[in-house]
Amino acid sequence: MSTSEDNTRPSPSAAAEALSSADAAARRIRSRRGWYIAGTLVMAVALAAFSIALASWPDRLADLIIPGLLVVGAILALLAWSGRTIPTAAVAVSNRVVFISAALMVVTLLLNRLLPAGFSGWVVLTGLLPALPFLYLAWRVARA
Amino acid sequence: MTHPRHRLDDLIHSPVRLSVMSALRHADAVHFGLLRDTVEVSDSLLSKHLAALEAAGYVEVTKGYAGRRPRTWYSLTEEGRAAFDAYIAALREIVDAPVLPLDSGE
Repeated sequence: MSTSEDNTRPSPSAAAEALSSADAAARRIRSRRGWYIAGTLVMAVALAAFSIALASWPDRLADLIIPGLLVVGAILALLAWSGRTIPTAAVAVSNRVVFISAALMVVTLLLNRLLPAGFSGWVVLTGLLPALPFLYLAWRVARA
Repeated sequence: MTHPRHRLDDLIHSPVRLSVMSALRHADAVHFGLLRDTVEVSDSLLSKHLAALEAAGYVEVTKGYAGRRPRTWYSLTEEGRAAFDAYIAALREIVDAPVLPLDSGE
């Protein structure tokens, strides 16, 4: 298993070359974060759209909202399949993000009951609440 | 004080293993196919290097599914992270070390 290459101690130039190849591998992996960020942004947009649509057009649940959710589910599955890497920055907070987003969705549904029926600016504002944790996750992964 | 080259971990010293460790250090988990594309080696060679790293306790394997397709994910263990960080620190010391004249006894 051991090769002569394994036992060679590097000169400064060989060490610099090794550092450069390690950096190149790290850069390639970091560049894959885009898939994860895209997934979290799709999730944020879908949650906001779902809560806004549910509050504004509850009678169109069957013919518009449910098919929309299925499309979003398919997009997320495709992104998960294509991603092939889980960024370290995401692991620490992803469970908390899902939990907080679910809690904010409950808050949004309760607030929407107090608002007048139909589409309004308030519905848009409350609809953005469950999306915020996923926007934070996308930002956190992007800047890591 | 020993020269930093004495602190280089032989197990990570191979270019393929160094690239694998570097790739894994910058993500929590990486799919086999992405590792292969990143390091640009064949499946069999990558498997051989990953097995060596796994046997040393530097890498852990998680098997799962994406839909119906089996997927194998790799990640660094705490020990692997520490070994990689120490290796990179030693490399940086070698690069940054002043060049000694040939007759210095080195």
